[in-house]
Amino acid sequence: MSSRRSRSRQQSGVSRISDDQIADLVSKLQQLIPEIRNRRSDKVSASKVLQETCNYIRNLHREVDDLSERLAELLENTDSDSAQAAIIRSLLM
Amino acid sequence: MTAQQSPNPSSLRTRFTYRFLRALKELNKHRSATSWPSYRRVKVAADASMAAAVKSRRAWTRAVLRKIRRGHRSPRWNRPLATRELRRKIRRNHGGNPRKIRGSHGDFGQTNELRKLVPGGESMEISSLLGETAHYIKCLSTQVQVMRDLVDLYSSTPTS
Repeated sequence: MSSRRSRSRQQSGVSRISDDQIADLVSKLQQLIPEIRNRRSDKVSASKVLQETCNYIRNLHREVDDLSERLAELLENTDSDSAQAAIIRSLLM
Repeated sequence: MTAQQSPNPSSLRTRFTYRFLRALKELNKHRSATSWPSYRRVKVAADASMAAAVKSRRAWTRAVLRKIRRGHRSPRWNRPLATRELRRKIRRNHGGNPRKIRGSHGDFGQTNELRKLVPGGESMEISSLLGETAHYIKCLSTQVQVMRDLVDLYSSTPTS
């Protein structure tokens, strides 16, 4: 343990982050994860936040993959430019 | 369709949507040109559009844009590293293990997993990683929202 710490002190350019800074960042992250935000409990460990964050990101990736597949299929079948124009209008209005 | 607010022309959602729609239009034109499976082309277009909408303001978008640019080059080509990249490479190799800055606590063992999920995460310091993660999540959610809306719209549009 101590050898690892002394090695890290020798590193130049790697600033030591305070525990407070990390706790602050973790709590900010906490607010973004719906799983945790909805539980209404302030006592979520940093470890849990990180774990839920990873799960959340993985879910988002999976959704992007799934939506990409569906979009690709739909694109194959939609050729008209007027359909495109209608879509653009709906999305941006 | 869920329209939460009147469109802000410079909002991230709008910028992403414009770029993504343009990219999809291009994809549609050259449908048979590439050998990629089409879903992958859509996914790369989505990721690239989001990173481009944010621009290089974030480490994660820089990582995404780099990766996409590299994908267009021959993998054997080793271009000389720019000074900043060289400095980062040296720091990464000589900086020991940035992954566990609190070795004895269980808490930050999970950063290893997070680093793999956030673009560019492997070489970030813990404070940057957390900030980048927060921004990345916000952008990913926006991306998913827009893609969902698109799927709904395309599904309900009569095809010609």
